[in-house]
Amino acid sequence: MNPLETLRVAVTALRDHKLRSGLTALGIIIGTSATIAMLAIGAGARAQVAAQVQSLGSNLLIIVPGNINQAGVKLGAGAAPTLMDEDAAAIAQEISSVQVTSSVISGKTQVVAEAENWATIVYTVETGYFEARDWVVESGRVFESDEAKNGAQVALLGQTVAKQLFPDVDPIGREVRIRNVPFQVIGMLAKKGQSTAGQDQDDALIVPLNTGRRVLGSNQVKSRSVAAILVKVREGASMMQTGEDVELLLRQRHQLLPLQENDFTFRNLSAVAEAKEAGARTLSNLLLSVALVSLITGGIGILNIMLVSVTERTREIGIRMAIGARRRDILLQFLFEAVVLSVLGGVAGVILGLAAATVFAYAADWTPIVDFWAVGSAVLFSMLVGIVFGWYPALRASRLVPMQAIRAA
Amino acid sequence: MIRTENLSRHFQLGGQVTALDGVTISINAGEYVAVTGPSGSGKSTFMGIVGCLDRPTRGKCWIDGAEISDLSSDDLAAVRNRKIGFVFQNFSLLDRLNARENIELPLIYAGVHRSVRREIAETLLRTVGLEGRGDHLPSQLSGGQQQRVAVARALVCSPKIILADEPTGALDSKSADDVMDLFRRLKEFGKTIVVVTHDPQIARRASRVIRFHDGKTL
Repeated sequence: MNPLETLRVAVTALRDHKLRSGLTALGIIIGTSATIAMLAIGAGARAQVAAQVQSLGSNLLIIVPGNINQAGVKLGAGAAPTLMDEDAAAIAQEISSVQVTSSVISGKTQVVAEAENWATIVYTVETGYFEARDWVVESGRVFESDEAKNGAQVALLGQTVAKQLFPDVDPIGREVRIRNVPFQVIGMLAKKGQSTAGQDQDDALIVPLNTGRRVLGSNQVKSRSVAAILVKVREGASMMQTGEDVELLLRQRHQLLPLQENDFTFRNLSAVAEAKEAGARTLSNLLLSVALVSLITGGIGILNIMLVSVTERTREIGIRMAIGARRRDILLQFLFEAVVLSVLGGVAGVILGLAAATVFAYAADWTPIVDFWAVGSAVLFSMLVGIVFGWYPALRASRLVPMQAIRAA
Repeated sequence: MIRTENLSRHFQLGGQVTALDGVTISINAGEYVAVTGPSGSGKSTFMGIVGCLDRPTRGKCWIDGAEISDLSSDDLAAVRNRKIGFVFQNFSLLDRLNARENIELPLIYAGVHRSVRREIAETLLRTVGLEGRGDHLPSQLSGGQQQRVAVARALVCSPKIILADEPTGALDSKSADDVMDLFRRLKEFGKTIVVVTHDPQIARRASRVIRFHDGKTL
């Protein structure tokens, strides 16, 4: 008997027992739909974390000044005025795997527009800042490098600040005052959303480094010191290797002796994100394994029903054998029944799982991510379950002695 | 056509039971033989082995010149499919297939194409007098009609041998006569027919009667 005929016989047998087939497939449907939903939700969660990491600026190293130890009192990271503009420039120039750098000084200050005012974080940065953080200008422009050098009184607004200071009008070309110094708004930055730490990244106002230094005041001891240096590593280059190169360069520039501690610290913001992603991955792996277990439970349901079915249909098997069915024909007939059942269950489960993921995503304001690979492997896996659990009952059916089978009325 | 030599069959049923004990017989092509004997005399066991549904414990059996006791189960299935047609007491039709599909079934296992199967089945429905009943399920047919469907199914692969186990046991006398008439016509077509029966009336129609007692032929 050719496989197509066998398939037809199997499908007919399943159709003849609709309720039983449906109930048996239900186990697979639940297992597959749970698997698909968990894969989609898990991928969505990881994508959300990845988006947060991206919003920090990808491939970003952040260097802050180190601790100073004043007569045994440790003032903590960032206290020492050890990082300079020139350090940032040197890193960009001398390390080939660095794409761009920017010095940053920041501080929370009240900002006043015509009728509104708002306390926000003012970042005073170099022109490389926007590239380093992958932050694009939504309207207007960024400042030029000679504007940055000459201390031009220009500013870019984050979305939150723009909304607070200019609720009804286009802020471009308008004036804001920071500590009574007027700045012309030349650009609006695109929305970035929350950081991994939960901070609103759009609550920011950005001014050129030298201007900001003049207005916000600078460190009394070393007037060219900065609060942080952002280092963007080139795509494909090793973050760790570049970090080591930067460390070596800074130690040389700061003339540290071999046993002396670094007077600067790397702050790895993506570590937070990695931890979060690891958490998301652990959770989704856990949910996925529960889903897979339920799929296997569905397989045991198939095993159970197929065994009952073989016993019930012993007479049919006997008749088929008497008129010429080989063992292989009987084996395939029952195996196909199990596989058709599990594949149909798998397909229905995929549809149900996608629907569940969509509903969940809608409720949780997430994007579920469904890839073809997940759907394909879920269907294949349910088919595998059908083969594995359908094999034994089918084998039992094929091993019946025709004489005994036909007498089982 | 059918020859056995010292054929024995033992069963393990809480002690050894000898169902068949050294049976040696020979049935020629075109013969119409009745096999009779009381319950448990071994006549059904005999038919099971000759029909390739079971294997002998000892002894040899030739069907159409080929020795079957060493054949693989696939080869036995092929012998059942091509050389033997079965008719059972309880009709042994598949309840969920209609009359035509039941008749076609052996052809499916013989690998015959669908359209050809249908044609052959329709012809056989006419032969057994059930023209137009092809779409009926077994439950929609009378006992006699069901047994005629079973006879048609037995004939569908043009076997040389027809084995019938109590073919009239579940039928009223009118239907039994119809079925036996069919068998008489089959003999005219040159089929070798072996009928296992209790009924002396049925046995009398055969050209030869083989009697079984306690696993032996008398």
